[in-house]
Amino acid sequence: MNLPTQRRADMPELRARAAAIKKHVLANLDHYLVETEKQVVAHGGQVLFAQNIDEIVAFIQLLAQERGVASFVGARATGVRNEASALRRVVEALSSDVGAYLSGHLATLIDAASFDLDRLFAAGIGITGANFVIADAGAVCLAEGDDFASLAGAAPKTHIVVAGIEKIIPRTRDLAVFLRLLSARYPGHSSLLSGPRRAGELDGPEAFYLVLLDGGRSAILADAEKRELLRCIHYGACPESCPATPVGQPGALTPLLKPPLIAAPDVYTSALSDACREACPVNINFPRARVALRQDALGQANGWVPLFFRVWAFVMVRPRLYEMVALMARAFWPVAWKCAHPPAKSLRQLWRERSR
Amino acid sequence: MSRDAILQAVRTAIGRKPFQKPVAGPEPLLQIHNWTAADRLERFCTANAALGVPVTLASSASHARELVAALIDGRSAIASLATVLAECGILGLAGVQAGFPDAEALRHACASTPVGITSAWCLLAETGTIVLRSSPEEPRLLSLLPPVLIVVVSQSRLLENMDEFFGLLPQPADSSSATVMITGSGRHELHVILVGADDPTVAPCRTGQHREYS
Repeated sequence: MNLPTQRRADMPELRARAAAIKKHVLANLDHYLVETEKQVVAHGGQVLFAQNIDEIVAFIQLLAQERGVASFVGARATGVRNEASALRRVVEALSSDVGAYLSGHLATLIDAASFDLDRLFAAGIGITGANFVIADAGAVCLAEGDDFASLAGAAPKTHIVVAGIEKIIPRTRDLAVFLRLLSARYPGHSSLLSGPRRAGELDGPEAFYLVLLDGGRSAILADAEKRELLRCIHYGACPESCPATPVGQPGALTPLLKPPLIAAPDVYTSALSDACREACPVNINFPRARVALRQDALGQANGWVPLFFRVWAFVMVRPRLYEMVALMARAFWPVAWKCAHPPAKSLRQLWRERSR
Repeated sequence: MSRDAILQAVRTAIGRKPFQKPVAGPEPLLQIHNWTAADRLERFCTANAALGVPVTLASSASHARELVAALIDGRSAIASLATVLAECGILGLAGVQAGFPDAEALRHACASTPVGITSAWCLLAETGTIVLRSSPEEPRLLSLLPPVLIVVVSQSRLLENMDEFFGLLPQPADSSSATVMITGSGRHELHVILVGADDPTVAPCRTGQHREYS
């Protein structure tokens, strides 16, 4: 079942509010981290802070040893319902990192094709991501197109939720804003999970762990120009809107949304159009972040790149020299590059001939 | 210790001190429509028609039982111990199993039975969403595992939207370990049966003939 994207009349209002909430959380993140920890513990769960993926894996392995667990089950926290939306949601960074890491070693990722009940019940530990972590409830929200993540959380005896520290929202009530936004694109299954099973409940995990991952996010938070990137709720509109993205590709924005931010070659693929910013439900200023990342890339670059730009700057401010270089380039244009050959006469030549 | 290091890094990044109170956050965005019961029913049915989920109106408890019996169609089923199911006599239907001594028995039953029958905590008219809450009577797996899910719920449980839900139950996480919102059928085959009084003023969902939306 697939719905066409529903158009809600209240979208502008929802977007403005979602952006405001995310901005508020990021500006007071330490408070909400402590609040989340307090509430998760109050609901019978435990919280672990991790600097990087390695720490999480070490923790999970230790826990598995302690509990004598041999098999894991994991689910991506994406809104995948079919292949197309799966591609759209490749921007889901964190949970797929963990999922992929573990799948190589110990775990099996649940997906629609390889849904296996025996495996699910044999697993002692279920690992999922989370779309939102709710500070005042000590709960996590999985907003999915399907319910595999809910299964991975409900069936095994231990449920570990791995979430980036930026996934926090202040109140349960704020879900009404975020779930409405997400449901406009991905209707489906969303669950609000907190703590282990309560007295009398027959299922649900016996132990509940929330792992809050930094993974370079506090460094992004410190950078005013890139901080907005942490607002991302994985809505998935930005790669779709990007004119530089070939159809069916994950999108030129993917590296921007995957902390730790590294200035990869991909930061040059976008034309700095404003399309992604207009499509973004939480109003992230992508062009500004991208320019900042390009500057970073230049600062990190060594050897010939800064030298090239220095020479380039030297040539650009000297018209005679520039014309000579351009003449040489036209004369010795390497066919091997397979680029279109430049025209025989430059604009400056044509201009002079015409004004004569 | 990673915890303190991360908190320290975050505080440095945003320029805050330990124990500093946060500034006031944005107010919740509330959408209150004051729909009548008939409006809610109509919207719930329309939303589910778009989602491809059949919604059937049962005029009475015995009617609901007949509808469930027809949906089960001789297959075995497991039901939760929700009050509305007991009231409708669904727990007494042939082939319906309910009440499990322990978690292991529940798992086996859920994994091997084709039909699951539950109630719902409430329904959200705006989006056609079904809200389930896990409780000793209503386990999580019952709505997750069986491929066919039948939700039997009283019409009085129809709320407008999430705002009304969170208004009634500001902290769902306090009293249950899982609150699940299902919109559309997804992996399952989903059927909704609304039990309630006849309301002939509701045009698209005229009762009695238990019109299906599909």
